Amino acid sequence: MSSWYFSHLTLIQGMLISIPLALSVQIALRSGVFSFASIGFYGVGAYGTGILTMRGWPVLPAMLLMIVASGVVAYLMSAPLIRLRGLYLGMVTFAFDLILTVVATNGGELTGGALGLLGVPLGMGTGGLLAAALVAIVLVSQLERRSVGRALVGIKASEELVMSVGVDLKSRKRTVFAISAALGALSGSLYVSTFSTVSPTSAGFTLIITTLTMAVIGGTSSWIGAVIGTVIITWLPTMAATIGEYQHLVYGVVLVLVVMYAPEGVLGALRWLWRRLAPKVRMARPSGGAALAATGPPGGPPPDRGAEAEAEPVPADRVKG
Amino acid sequence: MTHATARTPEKPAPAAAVPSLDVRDAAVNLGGVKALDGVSLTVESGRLYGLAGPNGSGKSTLLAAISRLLDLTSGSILVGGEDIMRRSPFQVARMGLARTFQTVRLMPQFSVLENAMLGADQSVYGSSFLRQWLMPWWTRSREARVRARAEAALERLHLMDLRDQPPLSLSYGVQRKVEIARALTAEPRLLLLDEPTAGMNRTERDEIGELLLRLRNEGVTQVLVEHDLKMMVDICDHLYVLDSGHLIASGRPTECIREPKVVEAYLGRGRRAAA
Amino acid sequence: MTQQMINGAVLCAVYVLFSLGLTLSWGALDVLNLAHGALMMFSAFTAYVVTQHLDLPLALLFVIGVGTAGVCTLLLDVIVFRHIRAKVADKRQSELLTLIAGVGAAGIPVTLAVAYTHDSPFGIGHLDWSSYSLGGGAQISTIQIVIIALGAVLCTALALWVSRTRTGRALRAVAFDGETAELMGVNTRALSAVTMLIAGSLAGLAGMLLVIYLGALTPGSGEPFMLKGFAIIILGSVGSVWGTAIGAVVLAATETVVISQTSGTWVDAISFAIILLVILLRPQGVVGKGLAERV
Ligand SMILES: Nc1ncnc2c1ncn2[C@@H]1O[C@H](COP(=O)(O)OP(=O)(O)OP(=O)(O)O)[C@@H](O)[C@H]1O
Ligand SMILES: [Mg+2]
Repeated sequence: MSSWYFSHLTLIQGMLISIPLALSVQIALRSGVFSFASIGFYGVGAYGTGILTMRGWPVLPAMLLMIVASGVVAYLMSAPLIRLRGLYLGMVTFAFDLILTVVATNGGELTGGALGLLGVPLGMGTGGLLAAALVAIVLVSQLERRSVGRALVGIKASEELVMSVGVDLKSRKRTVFAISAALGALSGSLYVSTFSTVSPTSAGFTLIITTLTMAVIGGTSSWIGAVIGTVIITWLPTMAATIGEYQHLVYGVVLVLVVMYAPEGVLGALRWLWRRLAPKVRMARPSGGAALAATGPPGGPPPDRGAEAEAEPVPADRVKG
Repeated sequence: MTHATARTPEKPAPAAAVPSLDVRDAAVNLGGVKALDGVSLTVESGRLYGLAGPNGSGKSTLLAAISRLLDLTSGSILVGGEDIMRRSPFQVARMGLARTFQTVRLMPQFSVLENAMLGADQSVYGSSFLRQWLMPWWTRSREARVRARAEAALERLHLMDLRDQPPLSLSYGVQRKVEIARALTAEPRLLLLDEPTAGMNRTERDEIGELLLRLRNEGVTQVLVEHDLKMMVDICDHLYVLDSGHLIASGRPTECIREPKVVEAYLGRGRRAAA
Repeated sequence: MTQQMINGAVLCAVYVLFSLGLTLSWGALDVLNLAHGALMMFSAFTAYVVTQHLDLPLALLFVIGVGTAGVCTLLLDVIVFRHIRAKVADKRQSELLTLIAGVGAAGIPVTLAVAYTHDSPFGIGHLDWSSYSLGGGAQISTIQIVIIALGAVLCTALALWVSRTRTGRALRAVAFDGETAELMGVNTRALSAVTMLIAGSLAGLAGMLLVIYLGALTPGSGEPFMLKGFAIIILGSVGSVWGTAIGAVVLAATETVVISQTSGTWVDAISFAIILLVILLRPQGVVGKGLAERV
């Protein structure tokens, strides 16, 4: 056991580091916010923590500073951003990730240019990584519970709906944006103080692919999906030794296939299974079956529903918030 | 039942010093179409108003404007005497306004009960995000209260048997009932209903009609949009009729629908003549 | 000065070609294809791979390169994007899935190129073009003339196609309201196929011209181009051909000035600055929806 542990230590550490990042994307997508910004904040966290610790800061304060700063910056940035319509938000946050690569490459001595930072002091044990991942999981899972959870899922279902029940949509979206950024920064900080290096490409396009794959393959409807996805994507390359340099190609293909055929991811598949099995389980119990019988006339909405949908004068586009 | 008993004894319909809702010269342009054009109307507390009109006459637009989901091009709207034109939709909701949508808006991931609970979240939990997020011990008792309110509302709509179902597995009419339940869970003072009975059969409609009357007697002010004119005549205290964005009639329902203008609006164009 | 204007014009022409493809699919089909930049790179890469094995004339290489990007984009639409559009009724959700699928799809050409070239620059030769002196030390080469001419001609042609032809009008109808257009007898499938083929081919053309003009591209060359494409689209408003042209002129001019004044390392940041400025100063364009004049 322990020899297995030591020979796979890098993977285990990588997995724990990726969990907050996958969660950061998951909470954004779960609330219907098209944002890739947290992946940029991963870079901010990694470079920031690296630069600070190389200048003598202790690891924890440096990490905390970067996480808090990222959250605050993201909150401020989000004011104009959350007003953007979906595709524009996706575009701008994607651009944000790409531009950080440029900044890192041209940051001179501070960022170490194209090579990036080397020899960042190590400051994270596996225990620390585990603790950080657990904290991230707990915080994110609490976002899915009770009133907060309902409001965030509501945003995805219909922004007009959540506003009409008294949820301050703007502030909720901004908060999600900030939390997502802080999680990204956390992940980046963990990375740099575990592997002691970061380069401009490590927060670039390939990271977007990897992270999206993690979040989407597991299923964005819950933190569990992000964790499942992270586990799968971390261990996939070791299962199939041939993947090697084609890793991101495989991720790309997997991502496309999942989006096409199972947009709810592994979690969605599990839920679907459960739904098929659950009635049988309930039938087995004496009392539960009656509930189903009372359902009104079966079948979907009447055919004119599409036409009505058009008639309503509050399309998502013109909604103010 | 909590809903009914909690409200009626202490709160008889307040004497209508200030109208619950006051729409003044409201106009809305949607992509060149004048969806509303100089509409003025008042809604007094504790009464049930009908808003009728043929398809495309601007009924939903007016409800959207009142709930602030849509900006007026000109004019103003007052709720309880207060101008709401600078308020956000969520602030208007917090003033005690709840609504249903013409196109059902339910969260497919959640059960019927959870969908209904969304309506009460704001008034029970308040707006502090951090508390709701990070203080499970604080939210526990509130969650129970929200659940009780949602269950009471579901009870009123006879939906308790379906509480654990995912809403998309239900028929359209039942989904509409869930929407109404969600609005009731908010325990609103002003309730806007956009075609709540579309897709329902006669019996179900009558049930909803009775429910609205009971709500009225509990002091809830309501604005009801319906294509079922018979239902409007049966239950409404007052009827407003829109046509092409103009208010063409206002008055007691029975008299209102006989006015030539209204007859023309409905029959003259051969739309929904049978209603 | 003259030299800088020529350089700027070449840059502008490449930007126009690249961005027109991006904006066309977004404006007409609500597809923001995040694989557009990767496919631009891939066209040059395919041509490069071909030159490693065969000795083909340049024209044929162009056909191969442009065709690759065009066909790949078409396939992406037919196999992936269309599937998502058909399956997911909710507009927002389908846009989001399309966006993610685009990122995934972009991973494929980029990884192939990285693996084949070991992440190093590649070119397809054809570097010796005759130059003409314009006086004052300024020179213009044949390839520069070709690029500028192609940019101008294709941009004009596309604008005319959209505004004058029946297909173009159908395209605008689809952009305005896809379902109604379909009811009116517009074959939206064929139309979206044509649009995506054109969009991809434009990316391919930009890639081919760029690799010849610059001498080499890298597997990562598509990413900064996405930034530039975004900036141009957001400046010129989505779906508008002339807007795209104007956006490209503005970006190319700014970049040319910055390159001449500084060491040029920050040139890619200009695009981002433009994006931010537009969002902060002129948000109507990006928040609302310029319905009628979208294509
Ligand atoms: N998003 C929109 N863009 C442009 N015009 C719109 C939009 N939504 C509605 N309209 C137009 O505004 C007018 C009023 O529409 P509204 O939905 O308010 O009518 P309604 O009375 O609710 O009709 P219905 O009985 O069909 O629900 C109609 O002419 C409609 O075509
Ligand atoms: Mg309506």
